[in-house]
Amino acid sequence: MSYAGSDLDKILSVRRQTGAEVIEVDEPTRKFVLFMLGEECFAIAGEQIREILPMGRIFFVPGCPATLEGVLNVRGDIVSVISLFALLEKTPPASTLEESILLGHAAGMQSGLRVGRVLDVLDLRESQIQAPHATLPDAMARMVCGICMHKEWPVSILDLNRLFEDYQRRL
Amino acid sequence: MNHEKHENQDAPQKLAVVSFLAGGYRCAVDAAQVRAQLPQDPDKPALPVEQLLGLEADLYGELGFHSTLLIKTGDDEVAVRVMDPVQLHELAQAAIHPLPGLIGACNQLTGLCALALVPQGLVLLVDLQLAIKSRNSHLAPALLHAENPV
Repeated sequence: MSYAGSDLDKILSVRRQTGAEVIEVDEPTRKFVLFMLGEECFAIAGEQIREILPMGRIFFVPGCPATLEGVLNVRGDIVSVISLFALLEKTPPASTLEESILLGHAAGMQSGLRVGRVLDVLDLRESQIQAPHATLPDAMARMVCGICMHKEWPVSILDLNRLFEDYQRRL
Repeated sequence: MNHEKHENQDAPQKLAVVSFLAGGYRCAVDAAQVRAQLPQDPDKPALPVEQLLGLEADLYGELGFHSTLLIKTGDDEVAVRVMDPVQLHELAQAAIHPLPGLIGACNQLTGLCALALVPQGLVLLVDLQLAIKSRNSHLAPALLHAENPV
């Protein structure tokens, strides 16, 4: 049986032409720094990350929340260090060689963020970012502002503004 | 810009401090706040500096040697017990750092005003006059209530 010239074919032909006429506008992209926390992938917007540093000696400061581990010497200046492992209840790697410090700035503040291995810097379009799942664990619910996929792995995108604002409100 | 440059030129290149141990941590106070250092006198108990700053007492530290610092409070003075070694020395301006924003926002210690990085590690710079004033302001309502019970 031949369907050539059928009504359906004609309709589909028109529909395909209509689809081809849609003008594709280049959607702006944003850079995101991709890193590991435990077995999970996370990302932070590139404009919120000043620098990626190797793991260094962290000096403990008493009187701070447990997730604020202390301070780090960065070329003669000291910056605070927040452990994202502790904050998001993830397991740190066995060796600090597999850790990095992201120098983050948001909400008018700056701090180091202790994370696992930094994997990549991604260019993501807004359309690639979905709303976070409603079933996120409590520790992550406030910090995660979006979800995307990278090489078939889900990536949780963190909002540093919320994180630093919480510290300013003394968690 | 000129005002900032003028202020920077007025800032001393070094700060004389009296360093001591508190709760197992290296601490230091501006030497200008200290009237004198005295040996610990068991007949004249002094206020433990850990209690003043809000630090947990170091159990091993209780076994160590202590000194008393007389901290100036206007025309008076307050005796504060600190752990040895107590040393008078200078910190270079470059070694002294303001508290990072997040630490300033959420730190619970009373009187922590700056941090210093020295070869031996981190030093907590504390304002003992401020800590004493804060303690007195908390104690005053309690004393008032004791004198005038409802």
